[in-house]
Amino acid sequence: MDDKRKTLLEMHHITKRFANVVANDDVSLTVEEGEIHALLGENGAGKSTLMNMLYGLLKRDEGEIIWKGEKVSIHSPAEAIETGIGMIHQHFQLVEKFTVLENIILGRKEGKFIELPMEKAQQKIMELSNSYGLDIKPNAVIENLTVGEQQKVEIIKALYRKSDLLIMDEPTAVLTPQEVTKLFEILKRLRKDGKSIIFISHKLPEVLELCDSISIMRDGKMIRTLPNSPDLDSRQLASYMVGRDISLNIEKEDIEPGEAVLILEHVCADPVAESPGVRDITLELRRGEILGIAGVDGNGQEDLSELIMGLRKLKAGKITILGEDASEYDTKKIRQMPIGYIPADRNLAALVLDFPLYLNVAINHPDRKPYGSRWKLNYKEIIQTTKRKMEQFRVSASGPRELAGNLSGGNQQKVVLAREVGEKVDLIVAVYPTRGLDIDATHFVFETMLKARDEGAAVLYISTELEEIMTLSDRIGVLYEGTLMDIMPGKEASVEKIGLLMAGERVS
Amino acid sequence: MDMTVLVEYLNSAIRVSVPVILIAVGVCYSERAGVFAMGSEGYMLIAAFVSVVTMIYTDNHVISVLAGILSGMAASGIFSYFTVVLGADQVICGLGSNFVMLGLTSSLQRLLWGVTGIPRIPAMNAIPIPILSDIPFIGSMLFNQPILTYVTYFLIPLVWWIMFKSTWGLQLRSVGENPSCADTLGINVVKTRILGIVTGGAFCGLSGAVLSLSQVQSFTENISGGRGWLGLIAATFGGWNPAGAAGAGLIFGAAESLQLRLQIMSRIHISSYVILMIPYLVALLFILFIGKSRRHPAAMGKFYKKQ
Amino acid sequence: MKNKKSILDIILGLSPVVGACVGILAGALFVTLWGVNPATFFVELVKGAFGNSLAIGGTLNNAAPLLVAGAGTAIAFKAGANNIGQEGQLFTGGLAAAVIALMMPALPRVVGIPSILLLSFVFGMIFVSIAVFFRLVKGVNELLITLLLNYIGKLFVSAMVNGPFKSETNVSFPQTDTFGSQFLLKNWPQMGYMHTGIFIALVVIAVTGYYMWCTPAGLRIRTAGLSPMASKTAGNNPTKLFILAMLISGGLCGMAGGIEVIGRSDCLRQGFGENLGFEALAVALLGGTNPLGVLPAGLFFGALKAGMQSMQRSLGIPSALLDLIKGAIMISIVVGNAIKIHIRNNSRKKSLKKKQERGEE
Repeated sequence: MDDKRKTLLEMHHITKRFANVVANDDVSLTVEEGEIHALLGENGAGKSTLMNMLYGLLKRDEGEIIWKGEKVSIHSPAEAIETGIGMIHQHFQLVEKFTVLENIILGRKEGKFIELPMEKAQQKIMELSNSYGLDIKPNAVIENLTVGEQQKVEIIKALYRKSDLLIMDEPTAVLTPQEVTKLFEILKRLRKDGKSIIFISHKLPEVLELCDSISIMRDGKMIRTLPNSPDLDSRQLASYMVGRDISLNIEKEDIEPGEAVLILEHVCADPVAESPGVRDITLELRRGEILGIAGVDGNGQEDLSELIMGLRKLKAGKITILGEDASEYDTKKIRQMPIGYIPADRNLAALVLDFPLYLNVAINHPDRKPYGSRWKLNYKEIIQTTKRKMEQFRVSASGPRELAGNLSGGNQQKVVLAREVGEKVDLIVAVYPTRGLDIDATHFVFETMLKARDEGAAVLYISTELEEIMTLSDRIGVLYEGTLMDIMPGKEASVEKIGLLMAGERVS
Repeated sequence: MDMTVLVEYLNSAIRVSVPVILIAVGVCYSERAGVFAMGSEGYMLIAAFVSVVTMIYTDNHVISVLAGILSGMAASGIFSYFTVVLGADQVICGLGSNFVMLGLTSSLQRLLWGVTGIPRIPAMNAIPIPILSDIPFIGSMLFNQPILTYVTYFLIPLVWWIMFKSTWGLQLRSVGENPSCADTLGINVVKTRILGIVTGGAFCGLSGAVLSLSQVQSFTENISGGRGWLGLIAATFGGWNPAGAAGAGLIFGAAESLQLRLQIMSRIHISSYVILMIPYLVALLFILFIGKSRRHPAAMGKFYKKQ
Repeated sequence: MKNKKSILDIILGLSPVVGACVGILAGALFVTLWGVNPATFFVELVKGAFGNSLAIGGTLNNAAPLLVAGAGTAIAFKAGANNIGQEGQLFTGGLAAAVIALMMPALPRVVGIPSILLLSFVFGMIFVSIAVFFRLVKGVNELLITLLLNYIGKLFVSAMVNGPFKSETNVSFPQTDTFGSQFLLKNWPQMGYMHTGIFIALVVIAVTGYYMWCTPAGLRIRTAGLSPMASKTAGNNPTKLFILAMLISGGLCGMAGGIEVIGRSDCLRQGFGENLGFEALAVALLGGTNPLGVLPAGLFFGALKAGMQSMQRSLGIPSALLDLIKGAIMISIVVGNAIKIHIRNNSRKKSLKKKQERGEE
């Protein structure tokens, strides 16, 4: 309807390097006034990095930001807010024990020196709330609100600060479908009022439904920006998102899978905090096969792995491991079986960063040979075994006495691999095993997994990286909101097909 | 007759509880900002000492009280540098500073006055407030008190208001609950925390001054005798709300006052040491029955480092 | 480059020594207020601690309970459990000595002393388990509870020695009747009344050191202390390990109380273990919360205490100065640790950056 839209924001040639990766490589983005602009891409494509730079949370290495035609420098969130940019993080930045009102006025300086401008603020909040249909009670305490309501508080918080541009990081990830519908209504109303919104997402149908323009990022680069039109469809966007160049050259022999090692029958686990739990998953994993589990982060990956490892309570269903009914097993009992587990969070769950490597290698079974017996740790053996494993797994460190925290991510992961799959195991549960690793270390993880598979282990390989899943897996399943969407043979899988499943669309 | 005993008891309960109440309020400020107030016992000690020494040299109550407050602020300021800026363990640092203060005051006292001990200082007598003190029962209970008790009456609503109704109070609470959120909103977490701790130190200082100037009228070794810890617990029970903390402090004061009374009444055959335990046992029972419903500020005890 | 890093590590590793030095220096500066030359302070300190057999005996007797309770505290800290109730556990442990010696006076020496040690361990354990209960059932941090229990434990012992256990013969000081000599630790007058407590302490150090460093259980406790998540993933139950560490810790502090009672005196006196608990805490910190480090730390503290006590006699310096030194040591150790972490993180970042630069070339 608008003939001439004014340009609100231009980001030119933004580059950001982290310790081992270039997170944003010469990225440019233009946002018009009064538009909802989708920023589309897989996890790790660099969307959040770009937005965190815009909001002043990260410092950019190169490039410039132009706001309403003028060059601006934004070094802190306070400056971003001052400029007119509001950001709603995926993890809401709200003080749980404060009321809605308190959260909204926190950090504002317009109030008197001492007294909180309670009444004035309340009036303004009610006005905003009414005009956008947000339906917010200013005196409710945040922790008593649903996620959807908390999001509305975040929106009001940004509006209260007179933001012209709202950055929303994966706003629908935590919402129910009904809440999503409501959110879209609110966003459309905001657009009508001339506000701009950057909508970060990887859910294609939503983007197509809501957004005016779509920018797609992959591997830290801006692939392209296109206007939304009825001709555009999910398949096309998916192909831009994941690309076609699967550059990982892995040779894989076909093996006839053996007997089932892990059987899950209708297993369920309660959701916790921000993860959806596990909802009625049934699967069978056999010797000599890799079952890749794809899915967008936070769709129950960690829940599933923790359930298998006995770290989560099984609510319903049955788990059978190596022919034993393991439904009631705790982690200690699971650990008695030949299972290797590579948890999602290397720094917190897999390694003790303040321990030397040799202790990290021994912590699973310190009372077992060769590490020790019930009342004795055999340090000589532990150190020698560690040395041997370090060579075998090509860990580069000054020696077994080096602290785990001093190693690079890749080497840390190799230590985890050395501990978990260094001995012969029948089952491997790996969650995001290549996260944050460079190419070499990633390849090493692949080799290790394939070798274990060739030696007769069953591998459950959970990852958000589609390329990896496609390259490695004999069969592929997709997790969405805690349910297993589908399992298909690796050869029948295509990027588009899996991409749609990942977005929650069932392919019939 | 019985009535007068009761009134007299309640009057003394209020008077005795003032130091604990003040500490409890101070602890609220420190812990709402996210820092364990383990050092309150020490701030109280140094303040009690400094105010008595000032009193002896100046013979002026106002200056002495102010000196006590300032010494509490100075001591807590050093503590805040170690814990909030450098990130040292709050518990050990607090305990350590208590011992430094204990050693400092005890040995300085010996140095200045040898074994004879500090001379007694003129008392701060109870000042009945005209008219109000004539109200039956309540009058002689509440309004026949030393001046610092009245100051406390006045302070409690004030600090409650500052904590819950002022801009600064909101910021203070936000850095104790979710420092990273506060940071993204442009609040200086370190500065706010230091201010919280030092405000707490000021209250501990006032508490020490009340104890030595108004109650003991002298300084004795380890004069605080665990009141700092009771204040810490009172703040916990009061849900880190100055009003609630003051209420809990009043209960501890009542227990302490009861203990003093029971000791005097030799008819009652209970070991005086069991009686001395009363405030601590009351504290434990408190936790046992209402402990769980209280949730401490989410970031309490955690060092915040800007990314 | 490798060499440089190890030098840094050595300097950082020395932080307890630095802490001890800061503490003593604070003391040395402070005594100038008494007109005492800091050099004299050091000389007198060493003389008071090691000058003659009496001094050495005093040092070792001071060290004995500190070593035992220090080892216990170290275990709790290694497990990430905040036991600061050493004083209360120590006092209740001391009570156990009176219970055995006064209620079963007929026990022979071979049974008497071991049962005192055992019961004082059990008393300490029971006492600390109150805090464990509050933590597990009420979700209250053990810090506050153990702290409160200090007062309760101390007063409870006072009530006992003024009440049911009060001596009928000696009324000048609140204490129990004299124990039978078979319940007292042997001491050697020619060695400055050194008692066997120090040997028991050495055994405790050896056993706890072995337990923490050379057994799987010790490794599990240390893992849980450093990273509860990793401990869980490795198949352990951090809650159970917390309870275990707290109980051992409380038990050893109780045992320290028992040793102090039957080593130093021949009866249970009111206030017998005053300050010992927090001194043990300082010892544990000084020893890097490692039972083996506790050995030199405990001996150091025992010597410091003996030196200060003698200086009070010779120079008139109040022994309260020991509190100041203790506090200064505690603060400088944790501040040192914080700075250490800061330096480590910085050097980690730098080395990552270097690696990246090299990688890009």
